[in-house]
Amino acid sequence: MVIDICKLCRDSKPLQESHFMPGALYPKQRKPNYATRYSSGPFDSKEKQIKSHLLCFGCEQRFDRNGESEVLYWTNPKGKQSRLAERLGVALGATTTRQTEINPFIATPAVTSEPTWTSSHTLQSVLFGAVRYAIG
Amino acid sequence: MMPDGTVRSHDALDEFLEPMRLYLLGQSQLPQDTSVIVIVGSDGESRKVWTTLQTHVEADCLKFGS
Repeated sequence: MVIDICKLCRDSKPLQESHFMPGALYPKQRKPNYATRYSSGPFDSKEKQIKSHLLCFGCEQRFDRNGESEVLYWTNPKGKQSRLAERLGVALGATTTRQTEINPFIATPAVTSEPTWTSSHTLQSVLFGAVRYAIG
Repeated sequence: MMPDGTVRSHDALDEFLEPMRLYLLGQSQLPQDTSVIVIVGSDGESRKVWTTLQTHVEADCLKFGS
């Protein structure tokens, strides 16, 4: 057990071995490449999950409760299809594509309604996942 | 330690670190001089590549991202 200062609440507590990105987001079936602005190369995600003793249990739960579980729901890494991509498809094209197929005289399909997938809650969740690096 | 072997330090965030920490603790609002841009890449090629976070200045803004 490692007892140190939690990087979020800054209390001295037992620290969890925190993943900077949720472990579920690491691809299991393939080895992707990494890319930075300056270099690129193969990335063995099984060996190089980025984690360290960073947060106490309470702050780990705070991230999970306020963002990561929501992000994992929408990205659906264990499933075949990202729920977010699915909803984006509905919002941005699926309806208008069907209209075009039915009526070929519609040359420029118009989006008839605003995308409905966005909510402040979802945005906050994505934000929590994205800024986890900031406190590492 | 990032996949390319480089070591990231939160020092790069300088004065932005503490306001963001307080926001994540639920003790303040998102700082007014901070914006969050989310890019969703749904194509196959994008999903094969991990982009690691970088800090650089773009259009007079400190950008912390890929």
